[in-house]
Amino acid sequence: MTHIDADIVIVGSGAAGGVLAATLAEHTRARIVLLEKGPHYTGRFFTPREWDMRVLYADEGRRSTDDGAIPVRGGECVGGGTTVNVALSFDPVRSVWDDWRSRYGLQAFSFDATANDYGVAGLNMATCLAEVRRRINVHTPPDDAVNDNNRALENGCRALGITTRRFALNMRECVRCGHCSEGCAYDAKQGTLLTYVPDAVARGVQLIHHCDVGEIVMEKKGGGLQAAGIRGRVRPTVAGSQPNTVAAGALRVRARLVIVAAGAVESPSLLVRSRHPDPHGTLGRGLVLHPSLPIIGLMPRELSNYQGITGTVYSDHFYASHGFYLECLFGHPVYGSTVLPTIGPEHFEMMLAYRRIAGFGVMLVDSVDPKNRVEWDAVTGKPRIVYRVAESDKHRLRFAARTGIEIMLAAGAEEALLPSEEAIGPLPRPRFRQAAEARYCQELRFEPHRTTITSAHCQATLKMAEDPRLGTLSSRGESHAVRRLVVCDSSAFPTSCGANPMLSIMTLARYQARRIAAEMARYES
Amino acid sequence: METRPPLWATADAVTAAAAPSRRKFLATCAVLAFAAGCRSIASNSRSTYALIHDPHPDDYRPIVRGLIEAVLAFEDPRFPKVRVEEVQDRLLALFPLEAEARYVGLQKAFMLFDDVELFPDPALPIVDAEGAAVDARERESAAALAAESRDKVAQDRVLYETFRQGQGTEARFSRLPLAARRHYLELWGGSAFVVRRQFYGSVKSLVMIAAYSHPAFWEAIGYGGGSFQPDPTSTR
Repeated sequence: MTHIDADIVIVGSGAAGGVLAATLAEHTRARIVLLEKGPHYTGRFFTPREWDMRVLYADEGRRSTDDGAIPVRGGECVGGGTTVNVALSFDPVRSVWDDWRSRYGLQAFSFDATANDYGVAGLNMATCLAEVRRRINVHTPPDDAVNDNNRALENGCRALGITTRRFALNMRECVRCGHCSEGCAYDAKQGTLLTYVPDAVARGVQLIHHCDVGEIVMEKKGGGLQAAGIRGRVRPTVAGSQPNTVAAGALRVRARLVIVAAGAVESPSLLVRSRHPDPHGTLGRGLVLHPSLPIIGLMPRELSNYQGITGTVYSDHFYASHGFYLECLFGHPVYGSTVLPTIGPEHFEMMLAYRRIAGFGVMLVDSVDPKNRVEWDAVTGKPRIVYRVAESDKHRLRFAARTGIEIMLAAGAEEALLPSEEAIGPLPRPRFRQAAEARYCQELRFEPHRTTITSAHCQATLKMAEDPRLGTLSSRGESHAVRRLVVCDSSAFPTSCGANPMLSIMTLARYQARRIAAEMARYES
Repeated sequence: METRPPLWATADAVTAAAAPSRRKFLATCAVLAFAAGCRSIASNSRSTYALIHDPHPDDYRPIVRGLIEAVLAFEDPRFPKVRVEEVQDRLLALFPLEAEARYVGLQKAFMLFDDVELFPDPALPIVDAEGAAVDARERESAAALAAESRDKVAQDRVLYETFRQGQGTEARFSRLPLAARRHYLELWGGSAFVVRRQFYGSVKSLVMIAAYSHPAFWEAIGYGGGSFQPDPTSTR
């Protein structure tokens, strides 16, 4: 049994936890313990073999919705999602934060760079965003970094008068190998693994990985509940990981402040396991996960799209009107072979054309439905993700599919297809040779296990809202029901943050950490 | 300090959960009887047999082999020079069906799948799982669930008729000729039952992962991405 006395314990070392630890270490003298469920792999461990690298993902990449229909990707290693994502860095979408202010009563979060939120000098979203962008080197790569696949999306959009943009990416001296999702073997991707976590450790934060946090310890105090630390278990260190800072076995950390930053699947699960009160049925409810639909094209010539920076081009043309993005993406053969439709000779024919395949994805900003939720399943010992695409979202997704097919054909594809085996109109499968056929996308039903929809952006399962009936957390990220407990990650968003979430999460974490540092007295009395 | 057992101590939870799941099974039988109009007792006892017996590896290995041949395209001259046995060995190495308890459900699903004649009649575990999947969202009445099951059974029977017209009377998937095996697997992929489609998707994933994580397949499709190694001399 390892027993640690600390001031602050942070659960999760991803986009949120890494930034929280480093920022709190920078602005306070608190003794901080940073806990991570996954191993501590570094660049030397990462290889381009996608199957081997499944160990970087939650449930070894098998996590999905409860009906198995939507795979839900999430990083589970030091750095979390920032270790396995493709470095897409969207600034927080200001219109969304304004919406949260009006509908969920969110306070502060000023985007004015001269604002002093909570009376703290220099505390505002604009400053926090600028600091984060600087630390992780967010920049737009030069034109020669755009590979054929991204060029295809750009060309197809241009032919149809659809605007495109270039992604901002958090990289430094990228060698363009195309294996972001297997972890950056070249230490180019500036996730928290390489930035904020080492910053935190250098400032004395104790990092404990391989750590299953069983529950938050809650004590009765003054007629209410108060978090007093965590109880968990440290697993033996697996091969390939950096050594741990404590021995394997039971772990108890006492702390004056518990910060949960384990992501929108694990954070609500931890609160449920800890018997966090849920008087208004908000805990885990209202999950959004950005359902994504791959659009696949068979081009007339070889492109070798598995090489080069995965994503450099996207379109937000339909964001305001229909709430979706078109984002360039590409898969390696394991992912590709499972996503491509059908079996046998028809499937093999597509695999033979692998070097000619182009791909991008529709990423839908989905709406909040309280029936979509994360539960804790004590029988399996795993979170249970219950999610069905809402009918109104399917309507938008049909339009997005149609648009995507039209773009792919306009980009010069001989054939465009969806990862689906549904029959639509006269087509036995959604495989299209002419733009006129794209209208049959109106008949897509998006049936589970007949059409592949993917997800990597779970959010909004705890929700900040000043009214406890709308969310589990206040604008400070503090639990409405338990003192000295803060949740700060994508689960704290009231709805989708309106873009790929990494930079929104990191900015929120920087903001909350600076606020906590200035308001430590709130957690001491 | 409190002494209550933590919720996340799963070993006890598994034991505790066994009893409710037995109750659920019995409830499902009632729904099923309603759905099927109590017909086809013989095939239901065959599916029940498959449900309660843990299959021996010798029972499902020919089925796995048949599935690998159906999912991949060994007959294509451009297919990599890899034997079915090699893909099967790799699949069983990546997914140790025989060694790990979590695969017992999949083993049983293989046995149910193999019994072609069960397809037009609702097999107990399929209706059971379907009920749970449909139920996950909103608790529906047993009557509504039964009506939905009846509808799905009717749809799947139409699929089965098209299959039988082309493929004769063989009762075991593993003994069907290749084209018929593919057709039968596609029946599952096109089934009205979500759980049957899930089986199709799971099988496809297992086989594709076993194949396309292997360098022989990279060569066949011209994929050069997995072959390079990061420079070991780089400083990290």
